[in-house]
Order: sequence, then structure tokens, then C-alpha cells
Amino acid sequence: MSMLEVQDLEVSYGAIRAVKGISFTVEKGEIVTLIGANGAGKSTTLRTISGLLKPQRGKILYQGQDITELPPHRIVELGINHVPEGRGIFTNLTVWENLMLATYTRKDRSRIQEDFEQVFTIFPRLKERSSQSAGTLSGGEQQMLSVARALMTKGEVMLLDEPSMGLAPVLVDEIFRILREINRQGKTILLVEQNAYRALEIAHRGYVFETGNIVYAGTASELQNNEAVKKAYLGG
Amino acid sequence: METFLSQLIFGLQRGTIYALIALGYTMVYGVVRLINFAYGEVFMIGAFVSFFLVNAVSLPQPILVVLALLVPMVTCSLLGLAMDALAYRPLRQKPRLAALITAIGVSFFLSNFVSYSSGETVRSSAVASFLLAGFLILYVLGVKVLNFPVKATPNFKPIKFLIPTVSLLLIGYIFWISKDLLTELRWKGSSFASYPVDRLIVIEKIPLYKSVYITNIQIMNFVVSVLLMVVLSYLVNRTMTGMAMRASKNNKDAVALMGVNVNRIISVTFIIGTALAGAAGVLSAITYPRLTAFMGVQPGLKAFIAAVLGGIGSIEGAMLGGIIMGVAEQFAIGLLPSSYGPSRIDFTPLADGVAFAILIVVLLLRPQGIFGEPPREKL
Repeated sequence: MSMLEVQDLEVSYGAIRAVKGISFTVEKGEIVTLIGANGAGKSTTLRTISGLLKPQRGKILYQGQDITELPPHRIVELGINHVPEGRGIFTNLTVWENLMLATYTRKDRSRIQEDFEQVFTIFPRLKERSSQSAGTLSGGEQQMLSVARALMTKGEVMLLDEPSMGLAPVLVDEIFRILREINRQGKTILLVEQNAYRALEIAHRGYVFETGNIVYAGTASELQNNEAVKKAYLGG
Repeated sequence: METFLSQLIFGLQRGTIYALIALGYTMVYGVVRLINFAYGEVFMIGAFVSFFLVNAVSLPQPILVVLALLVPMVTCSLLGLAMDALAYRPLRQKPRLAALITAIGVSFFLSNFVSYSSGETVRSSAVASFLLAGFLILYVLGVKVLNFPVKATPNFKPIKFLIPTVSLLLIGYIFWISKDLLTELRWKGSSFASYPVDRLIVIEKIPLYKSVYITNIQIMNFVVSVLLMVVLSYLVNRTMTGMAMRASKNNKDAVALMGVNVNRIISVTFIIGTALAGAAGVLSAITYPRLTAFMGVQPGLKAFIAAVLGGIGSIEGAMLGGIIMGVAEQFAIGLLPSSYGPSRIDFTPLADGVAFAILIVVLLLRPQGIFGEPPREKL
């Protein structure tokens, strides 16, 4: 049984079909990346998995359970955390409140303090700024906060939408290093990236999107060596 | 100086009432970007529920005072829940103008419903509510005891029926206790009812400074409003629900991704807003005991202006805006010549215009209000 299985998924915005019947799987402990150009349907796919969009057709299974029709908050409860595009930080709340709100679904309230400590060891900058309004953070810090929130929720699977967007190369290194580390500790990751080169460096497998379809699938090294993929997405 | 002080006391009292209603406007706007124009009517219904209760029930005074305040608050929050579920939720994904016009419709519906109701219609409404509640109870019993209908059993949760059943019983009860009074009043659209203040409290004037005094009703008014606002601040700033509420102002999708049921947060916001408006209605009725079906129109509008003045979406803004509005209006009443003065013409109704003058000035000089954030440019 796969951790996450998408079957024949089709999603439309009004008359425009953004995702045209795709299928893929994510196994436990993997980093799987969805790569492809802008508008290929990657973000739409993530938003449909987390319940923000409803598909016209197809199914989404999480550990064998059909979650296609569930509302977003139920899907989070089951263990899927979505780090959205543009970070989705609550700029009018403090950093601490942002992290606290991410524990909304958790029943083990006594463990939360411990997890704050752990998250602050991974992201020391957030500790320094915990009582500041999240709106005052830099773009990189906001991205860290967005990932940190997903850690506080303690799901099994983390969906990340363009975590490298708008960040300086040093910070991208930092984010990807942390993602690899989180994955080593057992979290399954589904990563959407335009920066295909960087994404394939840390991923185990990948799927290449083109105008709402999956055109290539394979292990990271297969995709890195695929001539067509190289040409289109890896800069020759 | 003395006039100034006594006007200030009256103004503050007026202001706290506006502030309580304004909080409803601002909180719901913060979360769903909707101006729920029906708060004036919720205010009116709060006053009437309290009126019927105080007339129908005889209990020791202290208990009656508490009930006269709490029962309308609970009834109004149920009304708020119903309003959201029936009128606004179906329009959540539609253009905002649709919900806004619906809000105006809800407001007209409620004031006209009260104005056209009579002993007879209210009696039938009570019977209908009891019958519906009875049906729900029978249904739950039927499913639990007789396993009927069989298909419904697997996901059946009796707890889900608790709130609707209790609501129907409470609403039925309120209709029931109000029917005789309405018949007695020969209630018509243009009629008014006098709130029986003397059953709750004996008015006492407490001298403060020379001829300046404060009444025990005013003290009660301040204590209740401050208490409600403190509870509200605690709820909004210190609880998970409050955090989710503030976060929803910023990014509703992201709130859902934190595992929060956003619809539930919206419901809580409606419950709080309408409960506060109901409390304001009761406080106002104790001070100005003349109740009419349209008594909520002016306070509703002024509280809306207070919320705009403070910065719509901002809770501190609504509190401050309400107070400013009340004090400004009271000073206008104090300064304008009344029919008792030398001119023999009553100019005090012009004080109603102060609110709108304030609105015009705010919109011209600082459209985002005192605490509002300036509109952001979308990139």
C-alpha cells in the first residue's frame, strides 16, 4: 500500500482543464518531486491532494483510504501537511503563534513544548524572532517558518510547493539540506519545484509535468540523464 | 464642567453600546469580508427576548438580571448561527456583493417579522418549533431504539441533533412566553413596548461631583460591557480559536491547511458577534425602555460607522470607534438647542447626523479607519 496514490486525477478551473488525468504514487519514506514548467498543473495537483480543490474525476488514496472528498482540515488531521506556494504565513500573527496554530489538530498537548524546542534547534532564527510579527521576517525566514509549521503539525507526509521560490541560492541550499534531514528522520515528502535541477538532487523519484499531463517518470538519476528532460528542464 | 462630566458619562454609556454592536461587524468582516447589516435587528431581538422573559418569569431580582442578559445572548447567537447557515454560507463562493445584499435582506426580514407578528402568529410559531423539536427527538429515539431507518444507522451521531433540538426548544419557549404579551399589547407594526426596568432594578442616582451623578444602571452597563470585552480579548488573543480567527483575516486557505475547520471558525465569529449585539440590545433597553420593531436601525447603522471609524476588521478599533461615536453624539445632543430652550424648536434629532458627518470625514481623510491597515496593492 502506497503512502499516497493519485489515480487518474482531473482538475478544472471553470472551463480550463489544469490537470488532465494523471496518476502517480509516493511510497513511505521517499522524496518524490513533481517538476515541469509554470502552469503545468503541479500546484493544482498539490492543492487537490490537500483538499483545497475538488477534482472532476479520479481518486486520491492516503494509506489506502480514499480522501478525495474530505475537506482540507480532515486531511490535515489524517497526516498530510501542505506547505503552500507563497508560504501562507500569517503575517498578522507572531512567529510563535504561527507555530502554535499549526498544532491545532494535535491531541498530545503535553508534547508540544518539546517539539517547539526541536523545531527551534533546526531553525534557530525562528527562536530569536518568536515574539515578532511574522510579517517582519525576510522571505527566507518565512519559508523556514512555513516548513517549521508543517513539522509542528506532525503529519506523515509533507507536500511542499516551490520552497525555493524567490530565495537566494544560499538559502535554497539551506532549505534543501533541511528537507533531506527531515526525510532522513522518516517524513515522506512530495516536492513541487520549478528548479528541477535542485529538486532531482535530493529526490528519490520524479514525475515530469507538461500542460496537465505526466510525460516522464523515473528515478532521480534516470531523469537527470534523460536527454529530453535535460534539454527542457535542466538547461541542456 | 459639570455639564461636561455628565454628558461624558451618558456619552460613554451610549458608546459602549455602539462598541458592542460594532464588534460584531468588525469580527465577521475580518474573517469573511462580509458586512452583516443585520446586527441592528439582532440588537432589537435581544431587547425583545429580554422583554418577554422579564415579563413572563418571576424570579428573585439578581437571578432575573443575569437571565435577562444571558438568555437573549444565547438566543441571539443561535439566530447568528442560523443566519450564517441559511443566508450567508450558500453564498460564500459567490461575489461579495451577493452576500452584502442578502445581509440587507436579512435585516429587513427580521425587523418586519417582528413588526408584523401578533399573539396569534407567535403562538403558531411556538407550536411549530415544539413540533419540529419533538420530531427530531422522536427521530433520534427511533434510530437509536428501533433502528429505523436501517440505512441511516452506521454514521449516525445523536450529538449532532443536540444543538438544533435545544435551539428549537428555546426559540419555541420564547415564542410561547411572548404570545400573551403580544396579544395584550395589541402589537402592530407601529406599536411599542415598555421594558419593565423596575422588575429588574430600582434606579438609584449616585452623586459623583456637585450635580454630576451616575446611575446604578449606567454602572451595570459599564461593568457588563467591560466584562464582555475582556472575555472577548482573552478569547481572541489567547485561545487557539481566537488565533485561527485572526489568521483567517490574513489567509483562509492557509488556515484550513493548519487543520482548522474554517466554517466552524466562521460560525464562532457569528455566535460571538450576535451575542454581543444581543447584550447591547438588553443594556440599551434598560436605559431607553421604549422598544419598537425598528429600534435597531439607527444603532445598527451607527455601530457600523463606529466600526469603519475604528478600522473595519480591527477589534480595538471597534471598541474605540464605538466610544468616540457615542461621546460625540451625546455632546451634540447636549449642545444643540432643545424644545425646552429659548428657541422652542427641538434641534436634538440633528445629533443623529453627527454619526454620518463622522463617516464622511473618515472616508475622506483616513478611509482605512484608526487602526485599519491601508489597502495593500496586489502585485
